[in-house]
Amino acid sequence: MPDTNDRKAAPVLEVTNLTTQFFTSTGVVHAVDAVSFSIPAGRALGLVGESGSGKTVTALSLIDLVPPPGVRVAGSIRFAGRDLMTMTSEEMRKVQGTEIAIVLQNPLTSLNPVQRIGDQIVEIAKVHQGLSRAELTELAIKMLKMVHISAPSLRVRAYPHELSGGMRQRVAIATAVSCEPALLIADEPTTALDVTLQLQIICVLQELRASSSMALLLITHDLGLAAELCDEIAVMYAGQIVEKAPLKEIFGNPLHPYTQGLIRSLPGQGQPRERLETIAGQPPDLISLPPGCRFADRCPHAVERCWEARPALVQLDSGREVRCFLHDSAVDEPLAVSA
Amino acid sequence: MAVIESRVAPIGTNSLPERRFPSFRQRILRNRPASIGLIVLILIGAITALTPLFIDADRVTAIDLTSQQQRPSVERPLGTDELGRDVLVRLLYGGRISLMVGVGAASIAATIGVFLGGVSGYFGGRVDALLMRLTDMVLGLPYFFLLILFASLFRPSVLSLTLMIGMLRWTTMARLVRGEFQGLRDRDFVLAARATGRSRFSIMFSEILPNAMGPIIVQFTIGIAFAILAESSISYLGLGIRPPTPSWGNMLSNAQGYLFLAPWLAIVPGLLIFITVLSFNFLGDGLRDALDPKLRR
Repeated sequence: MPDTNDRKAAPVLEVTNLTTQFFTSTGVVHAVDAVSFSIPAGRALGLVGESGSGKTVTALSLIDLVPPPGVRVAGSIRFAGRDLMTMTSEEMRKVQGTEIAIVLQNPLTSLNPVQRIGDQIVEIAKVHQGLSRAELTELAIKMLKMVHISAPSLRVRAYPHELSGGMRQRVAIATAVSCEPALLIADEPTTALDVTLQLQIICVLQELRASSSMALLLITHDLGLAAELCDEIAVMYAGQIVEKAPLKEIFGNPLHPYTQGLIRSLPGQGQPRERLETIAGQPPDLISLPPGCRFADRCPHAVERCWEARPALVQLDSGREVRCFLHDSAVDEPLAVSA
Repeated sequence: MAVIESRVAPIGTNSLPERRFPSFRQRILRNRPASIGLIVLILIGAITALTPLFIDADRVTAIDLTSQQQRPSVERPLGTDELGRDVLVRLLYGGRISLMVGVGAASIAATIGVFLGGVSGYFGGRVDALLMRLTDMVLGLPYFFLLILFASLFRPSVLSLTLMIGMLRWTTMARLVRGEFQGLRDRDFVLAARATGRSRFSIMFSEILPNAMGPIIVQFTIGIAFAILAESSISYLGLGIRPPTPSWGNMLSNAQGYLFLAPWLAIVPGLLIFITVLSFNFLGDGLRDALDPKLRR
């Protein structure tokens, strides 16, 4: 388990007001709106939210892979003392893979079907480190061992279709961490797998965290998964962070109505045959955003003001952050965006 | 550092199951027409390639007016033509040229087509629009007319004819590769590769291209068949490979004046063109089936 002594390490990643928009023919989609967070070395942050809340676009923005017509219009991404937003794509390519690595959602499609897995695992090392052939094979076997693939010296020569889904996802993780990145982004790493295989992936990620100083950004819709792996949780809704707090406090005392709804809708283990709670309604259209709080239409505690003004994300005395008029009356100042 | 007991159970023992899928070679050999095509092509290729070791090149053009248009005999298995030249010798040497033009032109077409189609399909947008308009333009050119025009302006050689056919016939390959790349570029493994900081060309040619090899190989074999026919047609019109250098096309052309007197002069090269083109088409079909993972059984 991650150690809990509260040393204030310098953040490996510090994201400030990251704003990513998609300029489509029907209008500007505000996919990521002034998102800020930081992750100290060796720590894990869970970015939690439902589909379409901007989690994945946030992750892709970090490594400059937002698909067109998406553009990072504002903000800064400080990583190991540099700003990733102002880097040229040449400089960025040196960071990708070696310092920041990503594991994608679907292991069935994230490996190249016509390449041996051993070759795929060491691809980054081959490009960036220039090892010899024997050293590369050795590295591939070592990485396979690390993610508990049996018969690694035989399996380096296997093709992805010869492995099961869980094994493929572990191979994808092995590929991502082959160059010991300072930050691993895991985008829904267990979503495509069934529950028993999810456990394997969680274990592999926990072991990685325990054995290195790698920071983890876990992107998931599954609060339970985030609870297994993360120290801190940031809840995203409609492109914004609505609440950010240490893991225990999110579960013990969720402040934002959306977070409360998310936790209530988790399946409990004590009460069988009980209908799961849901949060009624739909998230707002990210092209034409409401003038008030984005969650107001679905919020059980909404008051008139919630439809009129946009709450700001404020830091409470306890150090937690929340975006809700129930806790603080500060109004959000729109960010000056230069497109 | 805390020691974590792994909850990941090891899977199986240290042996891997036998390969469940038939290998590529098994799959191609199981396909009767494709394997026959392959064998025929290997035979034709080997025999024509080795000909100069056994038969002196002088005999290709040696005119012997005392033995014009002899019927096939033991000495000359396919007889002689109107100038007394041995038809078998000319056929073997002509085959070298026809195959060289065929393979050469198809290779040029494939190189241009794969590169332009790949760039077009991967980058999309304005690059794609520009390259595809260029492709449409070349597709719209009356290629046969251009070949004839070229041949009547310059004296065509094997090399120039190969280049001409190759440079006019890459459009099908370009469109095919563009389509394949468009389908593959948004796949997750390409995103995963981009996230590791690889260059665009490295991703295009070492990640995407291997996934598109099936259709490319098929199109390549069809391209060879096509180029052989194009060379034959042009030479048949007397504008391609010039006598006395033999090619299957110009031998066919020569023979038309003696169709009733000496029918073997036309039948043999015609049959060889037919068999070779058919073999390439069969092989192409078989390769497509063998390379398609969805058809693996």
